[in-house]
Amino acid sequence: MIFTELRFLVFFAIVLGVHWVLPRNRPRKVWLLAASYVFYAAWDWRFLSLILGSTIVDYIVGLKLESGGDPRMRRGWIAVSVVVNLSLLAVFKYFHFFADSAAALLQALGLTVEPASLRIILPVGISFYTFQTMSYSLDIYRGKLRATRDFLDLALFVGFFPQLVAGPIVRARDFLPQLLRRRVSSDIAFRPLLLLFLSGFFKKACISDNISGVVDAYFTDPTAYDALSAWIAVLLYAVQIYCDFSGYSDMAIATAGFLGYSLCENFAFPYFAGSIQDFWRRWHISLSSWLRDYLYIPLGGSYGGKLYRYRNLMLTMLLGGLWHGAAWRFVIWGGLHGLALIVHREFHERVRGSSFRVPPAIGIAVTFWWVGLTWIFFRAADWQSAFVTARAYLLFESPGTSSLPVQSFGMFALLAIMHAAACRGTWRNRLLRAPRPLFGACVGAIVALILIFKAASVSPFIYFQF
Amino acid sequence: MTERRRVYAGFLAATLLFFLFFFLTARTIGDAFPSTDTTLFDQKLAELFGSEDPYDVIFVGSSRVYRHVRPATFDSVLAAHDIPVHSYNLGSPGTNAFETPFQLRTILKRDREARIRWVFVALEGLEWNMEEMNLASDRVSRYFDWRTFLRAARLLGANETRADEDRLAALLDRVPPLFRNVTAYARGGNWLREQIEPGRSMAASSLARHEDGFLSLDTAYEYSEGAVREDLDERIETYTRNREKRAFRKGRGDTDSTDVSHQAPVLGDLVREIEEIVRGHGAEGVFFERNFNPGAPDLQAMKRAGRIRHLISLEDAVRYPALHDDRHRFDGGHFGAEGAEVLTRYLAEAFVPIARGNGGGS
Repeated sequence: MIFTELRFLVFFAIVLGVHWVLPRNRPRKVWLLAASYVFYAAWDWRFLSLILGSTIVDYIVGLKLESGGDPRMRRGWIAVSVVVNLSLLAVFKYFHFFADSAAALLQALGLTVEPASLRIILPVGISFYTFQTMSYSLDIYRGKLRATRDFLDLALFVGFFPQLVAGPIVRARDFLPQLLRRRVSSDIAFRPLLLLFLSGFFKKACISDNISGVVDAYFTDPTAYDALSAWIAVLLYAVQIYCDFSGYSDMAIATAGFLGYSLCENFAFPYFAGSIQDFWRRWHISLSSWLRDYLYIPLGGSYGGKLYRYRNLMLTMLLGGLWHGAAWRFVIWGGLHGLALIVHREFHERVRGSSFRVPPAIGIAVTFWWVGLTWIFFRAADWQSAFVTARAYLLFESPGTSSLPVQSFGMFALLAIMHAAACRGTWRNRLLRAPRPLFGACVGAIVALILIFKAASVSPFIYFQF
Repeated sequence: MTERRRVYAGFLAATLLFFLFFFLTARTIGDAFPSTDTTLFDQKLAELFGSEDPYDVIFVGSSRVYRHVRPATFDSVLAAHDIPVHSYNLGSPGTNAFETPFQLRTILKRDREARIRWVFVALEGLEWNMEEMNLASDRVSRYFDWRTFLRAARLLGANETRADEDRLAALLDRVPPLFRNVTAYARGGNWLREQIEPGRSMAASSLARHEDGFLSLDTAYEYSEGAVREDLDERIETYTRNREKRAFRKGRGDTDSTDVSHQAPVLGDLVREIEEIVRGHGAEGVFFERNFNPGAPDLQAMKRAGRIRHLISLEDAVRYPALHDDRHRFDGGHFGAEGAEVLTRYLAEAFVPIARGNGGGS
């Protein structure tokens, strides 16, 4: 069930209606958990057992950690949580990656081995909910959170349908307290949430889905196209993945908001970032802050010598890349970001104290250009495609003679202007303050425009595969 | 007014304005985008109204108009009778009776100088081409408005040859095209994708080798290649196979007749609308019917009832034996070039008294 599908809208209308009709908090939570499991079962009911299993393990681990005990026991319990959750990821997401890589390595050493196969499919959202359950136990272990004694609360935190399959990655310490408060429908900020949902819907259904075809056409055979087409494809892919993922996040935040729950912000106009460090403060914020708190800082963070710090940074980004997908291309993607972050830090240390400042427009352009380069490795189907596209992007080499329509470039320019206008937020603020009838008229026109410009077929969200 | 009433009034006004602006936007902006799968029809329209020598006769209908009516022949037959006309074939494959009024409105809206004097309409049956595969198309969404939906509902309601649940399911299948029509669903998106995606454009249809909108299936076959050629070959093969079966069935005394009496009320409604559209433009409508159409409407009955002013029927095998000669066929539903030539001559000859104003048709 995808947020832009009619069946989701019907599903959500029922969930929302029943939720606010129920008189007390507990029946509402039971209802939301049931709805969340139905939502997930719409993909594959068999994988409900994974969510439930992960929840039960971390519920028990949380209670054991809470009950104190000697540090060794506590370390043992936290190890249980980490091992179980990472094992789920290892088996369901990374098994074939590891098996194929091992087989390739052995082949390089002269040993021919057939890679093992488990014949399993990737459960939707596994990367998101395993990280959430793990962070719950880790926060209790570090004393930053008290374990919940109510299994329903923990199950709803893990399975809450708006963020279940593609985030944002919610922290237990942000979400669990919300489950204790009684919600009142009059507290719901209807207008901002409606505009947020419509904005997400527009980004996903009208922009991302419509430009996916031209990007797919290029990446099916990059060797057939000229250098300008490589640029167009890379720029449009940057737009596509942003609109796809941030559109989904917007709809998730708005959906949760209508139910009375607040989720963390996940995107803050990342393509207007003036540096790569700034980019990671604006892109997939819930993941970057998760990696910072649960990986980078435990590795040592910014303490220690320069090489030690850069190693921590690079390791974090490499593993962050691997989190996105079980392929070396994603590791390279993470590595390129890690490299850029190191260069950025080094550069800042060298110019510190001087009056030199990178002009904002240059900073934005260079950052976007580099992010575009990294997206090539994220999107390309294989190494050859990635390198051909990267050469065309960097050296303006044309491997082929076919061209993407130049209108595609115009499309990018138009979207950039729209994005800049959205960043200013002037129209949104005016609409939020408009009298009720005017607001109704504007929303009517916006909904009509969304339906007119929507792509005819609904494509699955890109981030579902991670 | 109390505070509560003011709030309710505000909600009511907001809701009403929501729907008003929703439909206004859908109609104005949504309708501005061209269809992505009526390229042939759109190209023909452009040629029709872009010509320096204006056309005054048009033929509207399905592939059985597109492949059967040769304007050059039609014009020359009438010229021999001292009736100068310049005709154009706007036939488009897959057109069904529901679509015809929409096409006529589209055509005549562009005829600002009212040069079109005669509109030939060949109606198809109402069931056979309402296939599931077409219901999701942009083309169907263009004409599947409330009126068409209600007509489809009436038609399904009257069709007692189908089970109740089957009819209900068929009706529900027609809700999405209605929704897409009302909301102008994805028209901008489809147009946008056509602009930026390589190879997506349907503009591949072109009027090369066409004569005033006409292209015989033999010519189309001669210049076809790839998938188009394979499709045509398959149609020929299917026709040959079915012809043998039909001969066998006829030998046993079976008939090909299809009961379409339940369609009469809806068809009557459609015919009335078509007449209104054409006459409202100051032109005259000429309905014509021919063989190969077992589910076709009973236009003869409508003519007798006075609903149709001009009707030309070419179905009579005694009067028009050449139209029932298998040698003229290309496939099961269409003539080849020779058949088209013969049919056009018959049509033109039958039109002569109508054009002279002393005949209401045969």
